[in-house]
Amino acid sequence: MSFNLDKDENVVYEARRNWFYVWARSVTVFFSILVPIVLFAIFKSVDFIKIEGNSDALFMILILVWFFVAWNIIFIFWTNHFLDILVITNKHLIDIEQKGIFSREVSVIQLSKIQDITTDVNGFIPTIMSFGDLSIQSAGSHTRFVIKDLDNPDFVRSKIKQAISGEVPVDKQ
Amino acid sequence: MEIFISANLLWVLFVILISALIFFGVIFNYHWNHYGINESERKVAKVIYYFVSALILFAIVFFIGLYEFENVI
Repeated sequence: MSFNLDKDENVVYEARRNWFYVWARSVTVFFSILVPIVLFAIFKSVDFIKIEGNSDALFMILILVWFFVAWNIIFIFWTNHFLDILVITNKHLIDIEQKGIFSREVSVIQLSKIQDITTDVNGFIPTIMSFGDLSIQSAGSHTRFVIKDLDNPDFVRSKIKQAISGEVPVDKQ
Repeated sequence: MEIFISANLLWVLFVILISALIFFGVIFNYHWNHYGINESERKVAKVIYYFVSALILFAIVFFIGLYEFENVI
């Protein structure tokens, strides 16, 4: 675990963000691989630029370099996605968001200070795939704490409410 | 217009890619070991990343070798 729990604190539930937007970004980057392939086809058909030696091998090398860069970009997206997690314990709500390779945000709210929990599922795809935003208003804070693109936000809200009321049996890790 | 690209330049490019692989490997390892929640997820991520990266780099080596070999001939 990348955070420390109190002695009598146990994890009740863990929630993740939905995979849809990560897949959409990954597919976009993957299709950008078509760009060097199209450029290769254009160079082959145009006569004013000639490359000495095996031009096919050279273009394959450039395409593979592009593949390698795209692969690393896609892997960064997925690593950031898998490192994002919302942990509900019997005392706190811990939101861990990996914003970039070198950027990580951990937010902790005491369950006893939560005043209001709102879920927002907005749009065709989020409705079909049941993901949306969960926003929390805590006592003494003017700003709402928002967790975006959470899987099954209504279920997560019910888990938080049960954790607040102490009804949920605790799973020890 | 004729362009000539030396095979040595391509090998330098390959060394840059290996350096990038080492760099990202260190970064990802750090994240998996410090922040990864699940042991099985860590193992799957490592295997997938290094396997796909190795495939791409071996393909690059093959084509650089092909380019260099045909230029020598």
